[in-house]
Amino acid sequence: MITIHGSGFGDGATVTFDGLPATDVVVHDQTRITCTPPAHADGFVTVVVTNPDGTTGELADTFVYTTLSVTPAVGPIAGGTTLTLTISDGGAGITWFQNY
Amino acid sequence: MATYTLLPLPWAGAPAIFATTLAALCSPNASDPDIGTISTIVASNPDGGVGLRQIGEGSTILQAITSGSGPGGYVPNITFYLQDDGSIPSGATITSVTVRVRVKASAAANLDFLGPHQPFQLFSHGSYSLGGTSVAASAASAIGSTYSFIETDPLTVNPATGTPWLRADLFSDGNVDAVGNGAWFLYILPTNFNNSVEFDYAALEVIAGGTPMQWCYNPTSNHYVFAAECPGPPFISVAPPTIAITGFSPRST
Repeated sequence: MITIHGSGFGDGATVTFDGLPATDVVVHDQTRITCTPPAHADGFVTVVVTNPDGTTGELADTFVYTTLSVTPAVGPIAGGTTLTLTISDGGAGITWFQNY
Repeated sequence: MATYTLLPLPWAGAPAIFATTLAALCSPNASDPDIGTISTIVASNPDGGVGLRQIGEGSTILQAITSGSGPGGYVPNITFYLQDDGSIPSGATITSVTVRVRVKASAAANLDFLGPHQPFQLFSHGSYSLGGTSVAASAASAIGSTYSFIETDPLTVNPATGTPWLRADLFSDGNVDAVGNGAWFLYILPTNFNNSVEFDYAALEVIAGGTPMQWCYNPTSNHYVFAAECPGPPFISVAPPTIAITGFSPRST
């Protein structure tokens, strides 16, 4: 579930990610929509909000699908295993920041 | 050359209900510069055939084609396309469409109508059906020397699809070289086109009716609602909102 921020969202608006419809769309007010994005390959997508009168607003190349994997999947109880986190962004070229 | 007179849109003064004429086929002669290829002449017709012209402000017929000919002269068929001119309010629900043909006939004829995308077809006496759903209309009033309108009952669904009208049903999808892609097809074939029935003038109007919608805003809950009527205070009627997406959370980038 994600939240889309903006303005001009009307009750009954729909959302698509690269043309695929989102589910569980709830228009909380004219500035906020929550929804569940559809399954999609890693990479940037264009998000489009469509109001009931057919008018649309979109934001391209801002929302990105990623896949996070951790290896190895298991390790000894004693610990000491070095974990590798791999983030796939479909070639979007995202810069990731690490917080300690 | 015909002189065009744009007619006022009748829905303008009727709040909550609109009925707009999208286009018409009613030129008094065949030399209409907008129609070019329509040159079929009806025999013994001082008006010299048919033509297309726009009747609603901004309504444009994109292309018109005629083909065929017959003894004595008749109007075999005309394919044309309508351009969305915005005369149907944005987001409006189209609750009915009426197809109207203007004719003058010298003998009784029954006219039937079919829907677009099949495409729309018109034929006479019920003896020459091209298939599809038809809606009968009486041609009795068309007998004589004055032009008469023959129209279908209001079609609450698209006869070709059986489902409620969509805006796209009425207009070309841009593929104007293929019948059925937003095209309307007017087929006129008097049963006895040699002598007894004369269509010396034909006109087609597509009249769409429905309920216009409006945007309403509730400043208390910060909600926009698109409805035929605003729910009442604190909702107020407002201009259509412009959608802007500024970001997502959790942030994806």
